[in-house]
Amino acid sequence: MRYRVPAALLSETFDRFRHCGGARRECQVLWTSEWTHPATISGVVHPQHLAHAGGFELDSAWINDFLLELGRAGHGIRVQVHTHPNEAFHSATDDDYPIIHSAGFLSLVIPDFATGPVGFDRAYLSEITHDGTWREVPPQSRLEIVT
Amino acid sequence: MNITADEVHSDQSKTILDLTVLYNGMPKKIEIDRDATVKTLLDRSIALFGNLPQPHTLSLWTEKGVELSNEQETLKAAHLKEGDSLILRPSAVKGGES
Repeated sequence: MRYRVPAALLSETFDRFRHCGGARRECQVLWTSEWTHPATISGVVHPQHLAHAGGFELDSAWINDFLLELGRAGHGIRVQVHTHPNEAFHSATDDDYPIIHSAGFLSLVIPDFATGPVGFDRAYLSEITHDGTWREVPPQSRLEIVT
Repeated sequence: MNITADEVHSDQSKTILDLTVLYNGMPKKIEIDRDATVKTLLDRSIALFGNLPQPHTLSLWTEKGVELSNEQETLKAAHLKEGDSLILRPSAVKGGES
């Protein structure tokens, strides 16, 4: 699926990364949409998490509460987005501990703690395949920025 | 609405449980024997949502945030009740460069 990502939500994503990470720590947000209109990203959720320069981990109780809230709202997580200090790539930890395990789920990594221009320059996008492995896909093939 | 003692007794003695499993915001109903194991419920839940890849990373959690970590335990022993909702999710979510 190719998701439509409102430019305002992409900008909000970078703002969250810069405010939370302070160019010193990694950070993650989750892009959500309605199950009735899954292709249109409509929410940017900033999880409760611990973070350091080389990684992050979500709070388990927060995950539970958030997944319940998704069910009440009829929304689902489509893309997990997080920062790296330098180059963007999918690490072994990124591969092994995603929040969603469905084929087609996307993971977007933003380089330089998201201190660069808002957009997908030097970003790395991965997708879960049917056998559970990840493969790199061009961001433009799955994500369309819309105004 | 008042629930009578007979209704409570009937509910507790029911062999088949109607449960709801929630995955990524999508609820699905499962009917399962109260004497089935947590492992059986987990396997059926994973199949219900499309045979999710990497199933060993997923487990069932109660709405109160308790992981059903003993897969050999029966649903009765795990104190699951008619109408309960469970969340299918990974135990840990993390990432990063290192």
